[in-house]
Order: sequence, then structure tokens, then C-alpha cells
Amino acid sequence: MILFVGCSYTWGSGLQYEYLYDKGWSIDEINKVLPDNYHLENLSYEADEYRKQNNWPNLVSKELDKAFVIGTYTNGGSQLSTIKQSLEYTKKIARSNSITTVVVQFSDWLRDINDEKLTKYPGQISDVTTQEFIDNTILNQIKQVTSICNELRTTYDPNLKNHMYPENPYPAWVGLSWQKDVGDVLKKHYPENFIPIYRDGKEYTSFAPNIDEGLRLCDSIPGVKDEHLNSEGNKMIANSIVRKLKSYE
Amino acid sequence: MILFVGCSYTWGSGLQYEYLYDKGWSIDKLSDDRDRIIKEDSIDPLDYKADEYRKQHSWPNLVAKKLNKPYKVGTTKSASNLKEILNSIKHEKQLCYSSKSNQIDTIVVQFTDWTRDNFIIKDSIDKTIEYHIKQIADACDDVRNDEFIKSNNYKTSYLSWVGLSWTKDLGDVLKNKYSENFIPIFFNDEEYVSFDQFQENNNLQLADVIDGFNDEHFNSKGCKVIADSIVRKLEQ
Repeated sequence: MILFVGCSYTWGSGLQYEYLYDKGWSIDEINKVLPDNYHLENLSYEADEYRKQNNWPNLVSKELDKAFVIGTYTNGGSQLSTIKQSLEYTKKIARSNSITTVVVQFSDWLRDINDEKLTKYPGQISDVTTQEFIDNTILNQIKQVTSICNELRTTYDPNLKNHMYPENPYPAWVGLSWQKDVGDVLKKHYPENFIPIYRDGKEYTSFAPNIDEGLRLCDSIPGVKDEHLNSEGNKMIANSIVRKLKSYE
Repeated sequence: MILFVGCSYTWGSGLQYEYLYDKGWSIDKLSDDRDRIIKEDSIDPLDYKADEYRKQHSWPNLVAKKLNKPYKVGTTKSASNLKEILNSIKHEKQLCYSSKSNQIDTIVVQFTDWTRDNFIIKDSIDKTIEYHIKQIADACDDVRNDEFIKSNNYKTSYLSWVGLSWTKDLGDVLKNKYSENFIPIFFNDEEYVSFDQFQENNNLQLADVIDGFNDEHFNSKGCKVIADSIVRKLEQ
């Protein structure tokens, strides 16, 4: 079983709009149900099933013919408030020995920074802080998340027959990034685990900014104010993850 | 969104064997696979389609489809005891804090066998069961009543939680102490406090539809019985 964790991108936020648009909803109607003004969990079963079918966790699992679960089974979040906690709870609410690997989608590092000057700064953030601070903060967040992934494999687990994690070809985790700054740190420090994003024959360290242009909901449904990935964008990410995971087989 | 928590029954454990049997797996092969899971000595090699079959036929999906609501199952794996069920609800509260939208209409709790927790209060079964239910009920109420979550939530007509039981002893306490939240289970026009009362010998188990296969979990027909009872309760 593959465990996926991440923020709204992993959840597939906004994919429901493709379904609703196809069902005849107008742009105005769709824009009225955008978060934070509306809760996507209030939409219909069918709209939510469309999301589940077209998000990248499902696409990857289907391609690799493996069972999967999304550990961050909610929309949104951050490295430390959601992803880390979900991984920590994995051991508290379930046996961990069924997890083949964890696919971590790293979110924006600024979401875990309690500093308004930094988080609200409209321009280049390196203008108000050093690159060293940024890199160290990102690296620290990555370490906090990935150490728990590693622990899933190495800690004593009384549920396991020999209290040892069974061998499999994948590493404990692989990771991709939404933002370039996190992606660059990930590639530099964890090249074995880093998932490059491939688009049109080129390789990127993240899927934003610019790399996802044309593959967002606002691109395929003009007028919709949502920059999350559309189903084609999810395919791009899924293909990149599959390519990485197949490299271990 | 409806959140479902519970043990292997909520997960839909074993439903994949209906699919695999239909695809030609022999009884021996099915049994080997089941033994492997029980021995817990290898990772779960379940393929995508078999697992999708499990998801489609588990009662969380059937209930959500009928009520036209999104849903999620609050665990990443099949087996749980009551403490793990409690932990999954506490985890949900954390997710409510960290997510922009994590809105729960109600939590459907399937209470598992209390003896799994190896814990007893003053040699009293009823007190022990009451303790477990109260812990879980309080955790559900805590999600509903938390000021931060409440201020970001939408209104819902459902209770913070509803619950059904696998075992009769726990079902009896649930019915007596939490009658508003208690989900009676209906089968063949009879009402039950738990599903262990009619689970056997009614063609509701995997062992009933796969001859020679020893798995007492519900088959898809059994899951439908539970789903109909939950829907009936929630439609009140």
C-alpha cells in the first residue's frame, strides 16, 4: 500500500469544479463555492468521487496496480501542522507494516512560519531574510517529516511477527515539491528520494511557479479563480511519481 | 462530509476476496493470503482493483452514496481497538485545526470488541464499556464544540456522532446510555443492538459466499445491511 501525504494538491482540491462545470454549473456558481467562502465537503457525493478518481494518488496507484491511502485525508495543511501529524498518527491508529512507501508532497514552507513580516512579504522573501535562514528552515521541516517516514520502517512494532519491517524495493519515502525553494533543498540534500517533475521533456524541481501554467483549473475553466491543478495537471504529477517509483523496481 | 471510524468491519476487510475469487483465485490461494495478513509478516500486496472493490462495497461508501455526501474513513489500515478508534477521532480534530476545510457532518463510530484493549475497570464489564464509549463520545463532541472549529464550520442537522456495535455487550450499553446516538441494526425486519447477533448463518459473511474460505467478515451483502441501518438512522 502506498501512503500519500501532502496539502490541498494531494487531496485534489478543486477537481470537483471540472465535474460541476461539465454538469452545467456557470463560472459564477463555481466561484461561489471556492474555499474559504465555502466548504468543499458540502458538495455532492458524485463531485467528491470525481475528485478522488482524478487526483494523483489514485492515478499513481492505478498505474502501479497498488492499493493506496491518503494519510492527510483532508483538504489543505502544511508540513508541520498536517503532514507531520498525520504521519505520527499513522502508528497510533493503524498497523504500519502495510505501507510500501510514503509519497510526500511538500507544501509552502512559509505556512509553518509564525512571522507576519516573512509570511506577508509581497516581494522576494530573500530581500528580508537570508538565503541561509530559508534553506535551513526548509531543511529542518523536511527532516521533521521524513524522520517519521523512516521511523515507520525502523521502530519496534509489536504488531509485526518479527517486529521488523519487511523488505521492499522502495525507500521509506519519496518527495516532490509545490514550490521551487523547497524543491531545490530537497534535490540537494535528498537526491535519492527527490521526485523530479517532468513536463514537455524538461525536468523541474517543483511544479510551481510557471511549470503548471496551462494545467490549472483557472486555465482550463477560464474565469474560475482557483489555481490548483486540473486533471491534466494531476496527470503530470502522477507520471513524474510513477517514473520515480519505477526506477527502484 | 461524513467521517467513519471503526475496526476492520468499517474498513471492509476481506471484501477484496469476493473480487479475487471472481477473478479465479483458488480457495487455497485466498486462504494463504488471509493467513499472511494474520501472521503480519509482510507488506500488504493488495492490487489496485481488488482494493477499489473493497472501497466500493464497504459500508462507508454505500452510506455516503445513498445520502449524497462526501465521506472519508479515518484510518489508514484495517484493524483497530477502541483506543485506536479514539486516536483517529483526536487526529481528526488536529486536521480540523490545520485545514481550511475539513467539515464534518457527523462521525459514524463502529465500536469494536472492547476486550481488544486489555483494560478493565474494577472488574466491571459494564463500567469498562461505559468508559470506552464516553471517551469516544467526548472526543466526537470535542470536535463539534471546539470554538475554533465551530467558528469555521457549516451548520448541520446531524448529531456529533452516531454509533453501532459489533458485540452485544457494548451494544446494550450504547442503547441504554446513549439512546440518541445509538444505531439499531435492522435485518429481516428484526431490530438488533449489535451485528454479532445475526452475523452468522445468514449468508452475510465471506465464508458464506466463498465455500471453504474461513473469513467471518461481512461480504458485500452484509455490508449493505449495515449501510441501510446507518442510513435509516441518519435520515431521521
